[in-house]
Parts: sequence; structure tokens; C-alpha cells
Amino acid sequence: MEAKDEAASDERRSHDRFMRLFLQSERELLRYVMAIVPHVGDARDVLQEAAVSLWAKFDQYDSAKPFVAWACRFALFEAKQFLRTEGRRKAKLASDVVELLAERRQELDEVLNARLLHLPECLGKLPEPQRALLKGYYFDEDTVEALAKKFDRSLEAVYKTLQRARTALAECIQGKMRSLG
Amino acid sequence: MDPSAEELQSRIAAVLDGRASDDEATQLSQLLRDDPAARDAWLFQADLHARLAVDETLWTTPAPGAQDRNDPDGVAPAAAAFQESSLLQGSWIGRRAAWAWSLAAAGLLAVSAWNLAPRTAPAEEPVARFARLDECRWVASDASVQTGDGLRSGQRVELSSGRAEILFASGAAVTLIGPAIFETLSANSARLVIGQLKAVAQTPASKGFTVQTRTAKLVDIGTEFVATASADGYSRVDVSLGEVDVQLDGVASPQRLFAGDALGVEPGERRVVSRIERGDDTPNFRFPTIEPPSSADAADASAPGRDRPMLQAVFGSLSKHSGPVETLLDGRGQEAKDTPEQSVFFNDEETGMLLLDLKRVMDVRKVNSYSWHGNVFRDRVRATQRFSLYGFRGDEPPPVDGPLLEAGWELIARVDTEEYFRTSPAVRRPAQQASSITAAGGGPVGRYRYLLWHVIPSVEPTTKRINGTLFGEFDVYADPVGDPAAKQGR
Repeated sequence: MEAKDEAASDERRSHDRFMRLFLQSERELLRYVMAIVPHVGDARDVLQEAAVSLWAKFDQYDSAKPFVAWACRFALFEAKQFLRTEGRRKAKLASDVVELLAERRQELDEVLNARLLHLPECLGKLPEPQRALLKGYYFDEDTVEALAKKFDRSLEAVYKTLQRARTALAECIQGKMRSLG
Repeated sequence: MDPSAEELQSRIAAVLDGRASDDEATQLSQLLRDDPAARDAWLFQADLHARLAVDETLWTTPAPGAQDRNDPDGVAPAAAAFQESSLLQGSWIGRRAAWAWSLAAAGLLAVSAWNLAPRTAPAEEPVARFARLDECRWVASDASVQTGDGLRSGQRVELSSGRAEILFASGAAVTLIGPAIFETLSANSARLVIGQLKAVAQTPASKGFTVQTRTAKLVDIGTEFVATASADGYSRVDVSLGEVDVQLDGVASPQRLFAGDALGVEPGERRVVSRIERGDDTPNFRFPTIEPPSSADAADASAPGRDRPMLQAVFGSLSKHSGPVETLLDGRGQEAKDTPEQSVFFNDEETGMLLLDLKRVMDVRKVNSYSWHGNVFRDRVRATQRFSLYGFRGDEPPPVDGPLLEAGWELIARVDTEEYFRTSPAVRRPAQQASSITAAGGGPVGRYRYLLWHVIPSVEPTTKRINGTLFGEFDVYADPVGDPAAKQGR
């Protein structure tokens, strides 16, 4: 009986540890998945699947190594699985290109992290209408149709404004990188 | 000819925004295949897109350099900059939570706090107040929470451990069970981001008290329930008294649950729900909404010849007292509550897997599993259902002796009626139980030839004794693919 209690308690500790690691890494993993599966809802589904596999294999995780790097392998597997099955409904990138992107994503990891450090400041500099549209699209998760209605614009105009706002952010970030570099 | 940088950006945006045609995606793939610089452009743009989508603090924290009416001294930009430095290790569910968790994980901090960052601008008047605080540790180390402290609309509570009771102005009472993240939304509503809570809404003003999770909205109809939200998006409600309506996005009518019912909602577009109900403890197997065992479903041994579905135990060992696996396809449950020979169960302490071959690919609409057991020694523990249901549509089932998902199995739903008994006050464990797995919006849960029940033993809560569940019947309601006229099962 005691042995069983101990086993249950070990399992609980292990689960708590896993949850901590996973929650700490979740946003970073989502960003990683979204390099391949760009829709945030789809990416969350992929990550949910990955979480199940990660927990199943958690006893094999070497805690001396970064959790995120280990978890990314599972996330990539699930993302590819998703593109093969669910992804059929949407236009998507070819599978060999996905491999190339995943590989390059790892190499660029530090650069991407460094770039995004400037995002809050650059977002603060956007004209309010552009910021409001991005907020509706990304934070409130409004559809483009809903945004078009809300802002009384055509669908095409909403897409264009979104893209202009993101380009402005990218240029601002690029400028900051240059001034620091 | 290579497109201009601007054109490349807009082609990338079309795929990121999900509005590209197949041809456009193919053209972009070709560009990315041929040009490393285009791949970098994709990755930069996709990462910006991702960060805007997943980092809610971008929208709730004043930007560095921006003038904040509420922060004339400019403290917020400095705080935001500080938070930014820890962002890349942070969790999307709350940076301070993740920060403290990470310290706790390293053994550096007795975890602890609550985060006052509201998702929306808080109203002045509190909509709820802290009542009893039982050994609460908060995620933020500087938290000082006292009984009677007010909570405004949009305020977030991050509880690391212990129990915090929160009284809403409507009279609804929520007991938050740590670890949990929770937000007050109004005098009669709240959001459970992660963790578990118990809600009691017994005053007239609290009728309709609502708890939102990522996958469901739970509306209390004068009752008591326990809500759980897992990190992977799975939500669950267990009703201990009264009634609860569960409203799922995109589904017109709510599902009403009564005392003794539970509903789990899997993440994902199909919105697979598993409903758990207690039976009438008779051989009739009558349940509030789940139909009794059927002999007219797609998983029935009465089907003729080569169409006859086949069930096998493919992992683990059945108990020597168990009946044969075909018992689960005989169209009926057990005749009495302690009839091992009419039941199928694995050895105690063993997980097991039951593989059903439907003999052809079918649109599976509903999967019902029935169990019945009770005697004076094992107080209804062996009625508890704990299993994950997987599916596969190919000709040969993937192996089951390794990780199932990697092998190609799709997880359809998780059922755990044991969870139910964590309600307080404890509800007497039903001896006869049914679980029903369906897609919330109607339509199939998936297209499969094989179904796999990965059965986990139940655990008796006081003695911790581990037991095999006595299943009496599996029913699968499904339509053969490409043959809509030939409906099998209701």
C-alpha cells in the first residue's frame, strides 16, 4: 500500500513539474508552431496534441537540457500531422518547405527573440486606427468580416490596413535592430 | 521573375491570414523553396503575426513611451520593459504566474500572488469580494490579500495553492482551488482560465451565474457545480445540485445538465463532448438523456457474416473472472450490479486496451460506454469509467504498444467519471454509469474504421485501491461512408 501511495505521489509531483515547464513554455511553443501553422486556433490545437505526447514521454525528458527545445520536436511532429489531415481545408505550404522553415526557425531563434523585444514600443508608435484594427484582429479575435462591419470598411481594405500595420511594425523593429547593431 | 519585396510580403500575408488560394500557396511554396531570403522573410513575418496573436500583454500593458493617463510618473513603461525581459520565458496565461512558477520550480520561492493587471479597464465598484481564505499562496510574492478585499470587473486572480472563496455581488459564491487562474467579469460572471472552481448560485439574483472557459460557457440555473479548465483547452463541468446549461461557441442550443451529470469538452473544431450520466440501477439501464444499450448500433455482434464488427483485448490482461469481450457487443448491459461474467474488465492495477474493428470506414456519430457494479466491499468503484477513446481510419490499425498518437491514432475524447467525486459535498458514486461521446454541433466525431478504448483502472479514494472497471456494453452509432442510405444505429 505504501509503495502504491509513493508511486501516486511521484506521479503527482511529476505531473506538477510537467505543468510548470509546459506553462512556462507555452507561448514560445505557440510562436514556434505558428511559423508553420499560422492560424492561432489551429496552432493551439496542434499544441494541445503535442502536450498529450509530451506528458506521455515526460519520463524521457532530460532535465539538464532546455524543455522548449525538447518540446519543439513534438510540436513540429504534431504540426506536420495537422497539415496532413486537418490542414487540407486551408491553403498551406508544401511539406518540404515546412521542413526547411522549421530548420531555419531554430537557427533564427535568438534573432527572432531579439527583434520582438522592440515590439511593444513599436506598437505604441502605430497610429491609433491601425493599432485598434490589430487589437480587434489579434486580441479580440474578431473575424475580418466583423472588423469590416465595425470600421465600416471593405474586406479588402481591412486586409490592406492589417498588412500596412504589420509592415510598419516590421520596419520599426528593423530600424531599432539597426540602431542597436 | 522574382516578386518585389512588397509583393512577397503581401503573398506571405495572404497565407498567414488564411485567405490565399491553393494556387497562391503553391506559388509561395515555390518561392520559399528556391530562395533562402524569402524563407527568412516568411519567418520574420510569421513570428510577428504569432506574437501579436499570443501575447495578450501587448494589448493590456501600456506601451513604453506611450503616455498613460493613469500613470503620469511613467512607472508603467519601466515595468513593461522589465516584464519584457522575462517575456520570452513567460507563459501566455500570465507572465507573473509563469515567473513565480519558474522560481518555484527551481525551489527558489514559496510560490505565491495575485495579479492586478486587468484584461479590461476595471470599473470602480467591486463586483465581488474575497471571503474565506484557506492556506492561500498567490503567484505574486508581494500579494497581500485579506478577507473582504474587493475585486473589480476584469481583475485577475492567480492562486498558486490553497482555496479562496469569492462572493459575487449577485450572491453567487465561487471557491477557487489552487493552482488556478481566474477573472471576475461582472457581478454575476467570471472566467476560469485554468484550474478548478466550485460555484454555488442559490440566491435569486445569482440565477444565470456564468463561468466561461476557453471552450465552454457554463450557465448556472440555481445550483452547484465544479468547473475545470486544463492547460490544453479541455473543459469540464460536474453538476452536484440543480441544473447547468453548457453553451458552446457556434452551437445554437445549450446542453442542459442535471445533478449527477458531467460534461467534458475537448479542444478542437469538432467540439467533441463526453457526457456522463447515472443510470436507474436496473437491468433496463435507463439514463436521463443517454439511450439504453442498443442491439441496432454499428458495434453489435448480431451483424451478419463479414460485416460483423470484432472486438479484441489488444493490451493488458482481462481478469480471469471477466466475461468474454464479445459481451460488450451483445446489445445489452449486465442483468445485475455484480455480475462479473456478464462484464468485461482487466486485472486490477492494469491498464488495458480494447480494439474495435468496424470492418469498414464509418462516420462515427456517437460512442456510448456502459458500466455497472456495486457491492459492499468495493463501493461502486468498479463502475467508474476512466478511458481515452482513439480512432483510426486506415486498413491496418497502428501498433498499440508504444505512444498511440505517434503511431497514428487520433485522440477522440477522454472520459473520467472518477473526477466527479471531487465535488463537494461529495455525491454518492453511481453504481450504474453511461458515458456518451458526440460532436457538440451535430455531425460525426470523426471518420474511422478502428476505435480503441484505452482503459485506465479506477482508484478507490479512501483506500487508494486500484480496480478494473466492469464494462457492460459499448455502442457505436455510425454511418457507412459513401452509403448515406444505409444508416446503422440511430
